[in-house]
Amino acid sequence: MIDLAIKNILRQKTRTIITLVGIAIGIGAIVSLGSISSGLRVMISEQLEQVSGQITVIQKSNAALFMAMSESRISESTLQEIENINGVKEVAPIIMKSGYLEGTKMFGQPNMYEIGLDPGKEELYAAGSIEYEDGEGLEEGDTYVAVLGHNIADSLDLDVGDTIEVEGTELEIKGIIEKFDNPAVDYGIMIPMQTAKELLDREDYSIIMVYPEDVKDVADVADAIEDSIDGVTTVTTEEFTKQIGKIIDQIQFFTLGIAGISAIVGGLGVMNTMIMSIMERRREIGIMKAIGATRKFILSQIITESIIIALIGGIIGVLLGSTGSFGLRTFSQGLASARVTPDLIIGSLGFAMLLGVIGGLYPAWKAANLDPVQTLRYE
Amino acid sequence: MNLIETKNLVKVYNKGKENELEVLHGINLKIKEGEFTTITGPSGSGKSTLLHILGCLDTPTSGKVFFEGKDISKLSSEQLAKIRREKIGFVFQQFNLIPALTCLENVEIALRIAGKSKSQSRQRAAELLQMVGLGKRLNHSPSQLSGGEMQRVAIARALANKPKLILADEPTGNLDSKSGQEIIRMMKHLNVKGYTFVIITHDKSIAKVAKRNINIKDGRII
Repeated sequence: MIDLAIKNILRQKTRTIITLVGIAIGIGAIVSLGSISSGLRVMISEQLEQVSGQITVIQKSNAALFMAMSESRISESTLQEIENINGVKEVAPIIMKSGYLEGTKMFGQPNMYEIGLDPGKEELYAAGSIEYEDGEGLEEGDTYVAVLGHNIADSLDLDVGDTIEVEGTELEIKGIIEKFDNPAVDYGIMIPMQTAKELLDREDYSIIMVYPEDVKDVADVADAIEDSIDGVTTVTTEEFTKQIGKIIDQIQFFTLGIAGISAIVGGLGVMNTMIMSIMERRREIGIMKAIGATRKFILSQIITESIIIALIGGIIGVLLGSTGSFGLRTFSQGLASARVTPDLIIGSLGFAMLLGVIGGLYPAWKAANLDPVQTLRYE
Repeated sequence: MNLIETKNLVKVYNKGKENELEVLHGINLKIKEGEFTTITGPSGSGKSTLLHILGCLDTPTSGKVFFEGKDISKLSSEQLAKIRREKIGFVFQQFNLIPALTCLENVEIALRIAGKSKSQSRQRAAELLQMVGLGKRLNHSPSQLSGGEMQRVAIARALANKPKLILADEPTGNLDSKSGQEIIRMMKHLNVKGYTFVIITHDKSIAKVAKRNINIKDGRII
C-alpha cells in the first residue's frame, strides 16, 4: 500500500514538492515559534527557582507586571514601614534602571541594568551566593565604584581597576562577579546606593526586596505588607511564576495560532493536490474498482498518499523549524533559549499527519465512490 | 451446474426521469461452468449492460441474477467488489491497463487488491506474464507495448486470482487480425483448461470457435 502510494506521489514531482513546501512552512513555523515560547518558560522558571522565599515590593499600579517593575517608585518612609512589619527579617531596597550597552543594542530584552543597592546586599539582590572572578564586592563607605556582572565585563573587555561610565560619570571597577546565569546579575552594574541616588538624582527606590524570618511565612508577610501600607503591592515567586506563565500562555497561544493557520493552509494545499490527482486518475481508479478494489481499499490508498505527503512536509518543517530555532539561539547569544523538545516534535508531526488525514478525506471519499462503469465507459 | 443464471432481468436507466431508458427487457439466460459463449448484437442493443450486470459491475433494476446459485441482484457494492476480485476476470477492448504502472505491477495490483502479500503477488504476477509470453517485458510500461501485448497483460491480470468466469468486451476490437488471432487462441486454450468465458464481440473468428452464441437485439435475446 505504501509502495503504491509513494509511486503515485512521485508521478507529479513538481506538484508534490510545492505541496510539501506548503506543509513544511506551516510546521516549521509551529516548531520554531513553539520552541521559543517553551524555551522562555524553561528559562524563567529556572531563574525563579533560585529566588523562592523572597517578596518583591513594588508600587501599586494598574499596568502589567513588567511595566510596574521598571516604573515603580517607593519612598524612604515606606521602606521604614516595611522594615517594622512583624516577621520581616531583612529588606534590600534596590534602584534599577535598565538599558542597552552602547553599540550592542538588540531587539528584545535590555542587556544592561544599573543597580543601586546597599553595599553587602548583592547576594540578597541576586538571591544566591555570589563569587567574584576578580576583585571584591561593595563595602560600607564605598563611593563612585562599581561591581560588574560577568557579561558586561566580558563584552566591554573591562578589568578590575578600569573605569566604566555610568550616567556620564566614570566609576572605578572594584570587582567582577562570576557568571551567575541570570541576566539581572550577569548584565548588572552594581553601584553603592548613595552613588546611585546621586547619579540618577533620586531619593526613592524602584523595588524593595523583603526576606521573611521564616520562608514558609512568605504569603503571610506579603499580605501583612499589602494590608498595612498603602500604594504598594507585593509579588512572591509563586505569584510571579503564575503571572509570567499567563503571559507566556498568551504569547504561545498567539504565535502557535498564527503558525497553526499557516499549517492549515498547507493542509488545504494537500487537499487541492489530492483532488487534482484523483481527477487525473479517475480512469485508473475506475479500473481498480472494476477488478474488485473495495471502497475501503481506494479510500485508504488515497489517504495514505496524502498522509505521506503531509508527513514528509512535516519532517522537513521540523528540520527547518529546529534550524531556525538553533539559529535564533546562536545569534541572540543565549538570551532567547529556544528549545525544540521531543513533545514539540511529536506534536508537530502529529498535527501534520492530522492535516494529511483531513486533507485526504474528501478526495479519497470522492475517489472511493466513483462508479467503475461510468468512468470506463465515458473516459 | 449453472455458473450464472438470470431471471427476467430488466435494466432501466434514469428511472422515473424524462430521459428514462429501458435497456434490457427481461433477459433469461444460463451459462454453465466451462462454456465459451459469445454475445453478439448491434451497438445499443444492451449487450455491454448485460455484461456489466453479469460481471457484478452493475445491478439490475428488476429480475434476479444468480452467481454459483446465489442471488447477487441485491448485494451491496462492497459485496459485489468481493465477487469481482475473487471470481471474475475482465478483459476490455481498451485494455484498461494503468499507464503509470509496469506490466508486472498491473498484474500485481489485482492480487494486492485481493489481499495477497507483496512478495506473493509479485511472484504470481511474474508467473502469469511468463505464461502469456511476456516474461521479458515485466518492467516495461504499457505504453512500450503493442496492442496485442497489452491485451495479453490484461489477460494475465484477469487470471490473477484464478477466477471462475472471464468476461471480455470486444477483446480483439482494437487489435490487428494477427494479434487478434493470438488472443483468441489464448482464450480458447484457457477455456480448455477450465475457465468459463463470456465474450462480447463482432469478430467472426471468435464466433467461429465459440460453442454458443447469444444474439441480442433491442434488449432481448433473439
